[in-house]
Amino acid sequence: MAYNQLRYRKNFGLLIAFVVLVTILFIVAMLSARSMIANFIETEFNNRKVEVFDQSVQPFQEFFNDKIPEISYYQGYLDSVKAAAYVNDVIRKNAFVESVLFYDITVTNSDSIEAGIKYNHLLVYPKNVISFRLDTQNRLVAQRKESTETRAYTEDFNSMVLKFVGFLDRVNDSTRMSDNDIYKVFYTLNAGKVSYMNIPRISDLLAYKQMMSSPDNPVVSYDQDMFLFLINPSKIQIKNVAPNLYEKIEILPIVSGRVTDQRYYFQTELSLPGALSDYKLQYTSSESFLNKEINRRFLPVSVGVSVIYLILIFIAYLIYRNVTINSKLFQLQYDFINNLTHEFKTPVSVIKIAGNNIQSSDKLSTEEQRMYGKILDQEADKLNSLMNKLLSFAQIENKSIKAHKEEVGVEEFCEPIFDAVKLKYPDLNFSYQIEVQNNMMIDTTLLLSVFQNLIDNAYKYSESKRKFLNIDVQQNKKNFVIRFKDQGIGISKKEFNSIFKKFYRVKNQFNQQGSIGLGLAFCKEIVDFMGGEIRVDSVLNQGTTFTLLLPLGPKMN
Amino acid sequence: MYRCLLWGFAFGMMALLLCCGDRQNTDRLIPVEDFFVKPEKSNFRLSPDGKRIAYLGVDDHCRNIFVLDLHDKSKSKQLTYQSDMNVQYFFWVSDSAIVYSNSHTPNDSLRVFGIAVNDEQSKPLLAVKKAKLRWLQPQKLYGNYLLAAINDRDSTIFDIYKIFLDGSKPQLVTRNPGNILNWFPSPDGKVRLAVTSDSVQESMLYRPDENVAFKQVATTDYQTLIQPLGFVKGETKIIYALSNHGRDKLALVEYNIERGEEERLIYSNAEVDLEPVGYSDNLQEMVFSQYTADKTEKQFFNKAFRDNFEKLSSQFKGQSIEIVDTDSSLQNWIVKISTDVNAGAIYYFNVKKQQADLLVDMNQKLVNATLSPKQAIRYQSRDGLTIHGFLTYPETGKRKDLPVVVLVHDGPNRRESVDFDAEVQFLANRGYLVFQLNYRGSIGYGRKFWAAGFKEWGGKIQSDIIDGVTTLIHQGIVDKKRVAIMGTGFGGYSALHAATYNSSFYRCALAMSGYTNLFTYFKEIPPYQQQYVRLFYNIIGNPSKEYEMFKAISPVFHADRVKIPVLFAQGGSDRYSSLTDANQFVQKLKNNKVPVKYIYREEEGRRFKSEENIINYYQEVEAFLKMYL
Repeated sequence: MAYNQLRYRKNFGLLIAFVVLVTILFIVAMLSARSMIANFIETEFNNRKVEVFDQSVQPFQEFFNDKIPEISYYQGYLDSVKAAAYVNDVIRKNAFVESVLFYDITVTNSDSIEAGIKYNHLLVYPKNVISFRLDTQNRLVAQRKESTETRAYTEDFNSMVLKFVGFLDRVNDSTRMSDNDIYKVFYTLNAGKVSYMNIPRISDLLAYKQMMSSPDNPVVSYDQDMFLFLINPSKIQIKNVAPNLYEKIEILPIVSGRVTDQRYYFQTELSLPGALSDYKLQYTSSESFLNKEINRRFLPVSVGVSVIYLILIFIAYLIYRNVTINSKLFQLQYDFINNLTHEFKTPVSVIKIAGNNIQSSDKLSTEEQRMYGKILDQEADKLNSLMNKLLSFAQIENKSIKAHKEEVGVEEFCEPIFDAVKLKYPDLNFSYQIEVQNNMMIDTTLLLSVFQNLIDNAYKYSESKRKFLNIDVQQNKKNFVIRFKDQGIGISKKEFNSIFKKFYRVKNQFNQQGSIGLGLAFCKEIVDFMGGEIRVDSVLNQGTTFTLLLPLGPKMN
Repeated sequence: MYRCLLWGFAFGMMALLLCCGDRQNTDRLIPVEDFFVKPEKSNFRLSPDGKRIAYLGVDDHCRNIFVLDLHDKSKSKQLTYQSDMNVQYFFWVSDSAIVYSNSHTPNDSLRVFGIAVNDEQSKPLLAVKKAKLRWLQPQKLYGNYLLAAINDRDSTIFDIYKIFLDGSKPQLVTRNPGNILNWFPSPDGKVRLAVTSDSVQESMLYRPDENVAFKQVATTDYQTLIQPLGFVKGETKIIYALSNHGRDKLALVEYNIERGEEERLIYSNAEVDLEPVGYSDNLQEMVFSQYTADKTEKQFFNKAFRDNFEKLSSQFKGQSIEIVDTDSSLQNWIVKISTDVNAGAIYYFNVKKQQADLLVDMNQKLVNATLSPKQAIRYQSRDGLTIHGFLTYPETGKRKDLPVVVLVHDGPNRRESVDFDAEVQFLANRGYLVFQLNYRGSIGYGRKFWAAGFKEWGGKIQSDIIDGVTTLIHQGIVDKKRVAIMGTGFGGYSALHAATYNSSFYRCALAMSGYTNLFTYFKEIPPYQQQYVRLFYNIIGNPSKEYEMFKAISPVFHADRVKIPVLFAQGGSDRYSSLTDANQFVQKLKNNKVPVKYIYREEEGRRFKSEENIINYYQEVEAFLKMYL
């Protein structure tokens, strides 16, 4: 168990489950959001009609609540000229008022007048009836009407007067006119008609009542004004406050049925108030129209959900990448330890064999002694250099060493190395060119190990018959350009990036052992550390060129 | 951080100090209800022999008559015991009899009683009826009857009747031909003088005897006034009268009513009208004449009376003395002593003993309060008229950059005087400068000044108010950003007018029963009182002919121009404004998001009467001014 826990584990099943779950959630969220929005729009379609209604009917309400009561302000003092001024204002502002009839009413107890409505001793008769309307040129036309012409509206006048007289009957000293009284007595609302009579003061009402009940009052007359407004509801301007909900809003007679019974149409209606009550507002939208609106509102939601989904997927990817890299790293380190063990094993076993041989032989000849000494010395050196390599790499990687930069001539630096190469690898076809004008500012020890590494690689990764190396040292404006060109086995392009990584080894027959995958990584670290650059260019089975770029030093003297 | 804390602390301390300071300030605030206390006793009247004083006091929540015996205090008593109605008025008809009237409400049926003081027997003088009765002045017993005008026959026409004390049926003396407004009996109980009016023209009628028909002797226009005060002793043709016939100010004259001519000028004042007081029915002579410019002054014609008055005034130095009543010998007086900072008190003054006894304080609660004196000012209006006004500074002693409440008097046929005014004192006590003015159209400053206000309700009268405030602003007394306007009736109209047309000049407006609509106001004059209508055509204008002007100066038509906060108080039975107008006006203001405080009391009329409503109104006024001024 404990072993299992400590082992490096890699389970993509979890990740896949996560992705699947998120995807399902995403789909569910999209679907439910869409259906919620569709529901919402349908509800709104039914609810917001009131808003349209309010906005559209507002001018009528203003007319009804503000403009009509203004008649009372004049307390009956209006005559045809003043009424015209009032009507002019009303009729121009409110298109739905088609025409207006003005009754200049006299309330009197005189007996000498024939026409009118008489109730006991009170006589109410229209002194003048004037109709107002706008003609085709939008001019206000006032016409004095004879009684025969107004017969169509006699009913309105009579019903108003009857209501009024009936109210007079109930009036007494302590009467307070409530809003309800006012509405019931002084307003008459019929479909398409609003009639209104100015509200007299209580004391006037009492005076009327007095006139009505007792015969022997001095003859007096009072003025009352009555207006009859003829309303055309279809001229009400519809204010569609939700144009993306309602495709079409119409004012239709209340009795008109559905124009279409197609299922593709959404429809709702609202009947108009008061004097407009024979008309209704009808709201229609086609399904495609509503769908457009649904989609419009769904878009931002879907974008939001998608963004969240993508973020989750991206996180899943990051986790995946992390897991893979870690696993690779783990593998590399494992390999490294393997290689290292091999590297150490060879000298150690040689030393062990030498030790055994020395131990088991009774007598050592001088030649044997020297041979074993040499072997022991060589193998110890190998171990030492191996450990040095590891140590300095660790140091360089941790930036715990400092470069000891010194000025050195290029040739002065190169010649000894190249001489050593010739000695070390006599079977290597080695050549070099040096064409520089400047000196180098380098840490010679570090650069030396880079050179050695690259030269060793060139030797190592070449077939025995094609051991060839050319080193070309040049300079351009900024840098020294040092090319190490061999005709070895080459590196496939895929591996260009990896070869400079720690513990990475190209898999081939040349590095079965004796390589720990640090050489090039070490070179790169050093070159980077010195402010230079290392590049590789290679063709498989033809050869490899490593290019070093190093910063120029001062000019040669 | 620490600095912040420090500042916070400092502010906290300052706020605390200010709070304390404020509290000290509020200690000096007099509660609203203290200003509007009504005296418990009123209507003090001396019996003709000067031995008793009768007055109205409250018993069982109703006003009843009480009698104070000046010689034998133990005989003082309550005379009437009414528990369901108020005694409206009473007067002595003899040394031992009183006539009074009572009612539930002002519009109640007519009930008049006679009551004997000694045996407390009360009997009705006429049958209860739905009519109005006006006693002819002086209210005096002629043998066994009194004279009164009653509109029994026709509600608009008053006929003269003899009302007998024994309760027998009243006897018609003269039938009113229809146009007679006033009757004036001679000392012998015969009515020889009458005045008719069609409001634009006034005529004086004379008859030498009651059997002869009246004859018109003089005619004057509506701007001219000849006001009879009483008959000259021993004469039946010559009267004392106040007249501005042929002059601008009302002067005291002897007037021949047979010829309709002025006999001689007795006294006049160059600056102001004389007031219709000072005639003694018992002596049948002018005892004094009185006028009020910045202060009320008296001119005495009776030397003994003057000496006595001076002795009395030496006891109340610097205070104004109003003679409320005297007995027939002028040896016992009832006087009201008051100042501008003292609501005053009613005293009984015994001339012989030179002793004044307190009968009642007009306002018990304010006796020891520190109030602010009224200061008379005058200024020029923009067209050069001299306007008289009064300033009442708040108690703070500050004289610069004060918030002002312009208190516009009702009327316009009224005037402000230096007398104590509870409303003014209330406002001054709350820290506001109170500015009152007698704008053109106010009475008392002569005919021309009165007539200057005609048809200027929404015009020059309003500019007089603005001119006054502007003058005060130029003098540095008033903070021009803190001007409020307030008033009742016409004053309320002015406030609404100001809110409508001068929203930028005033900060807020307070109107009690303000006229929102002059059409409605005009309608209050019923058509059968044509005489008044024609007078009002002259004073306000003709709503049929000057319809445009009426519309232009009626606030209800222009409610959308109101930009400043408005306090609007309205009584449900105010006849001059219709509730519908008021509601419309207030509703429009509310719709325009203008702050409105609407106080509606259904049971009240033009002025609030019930103490609770009055106090509530002034509490609202206080809160409103605090918030918006």
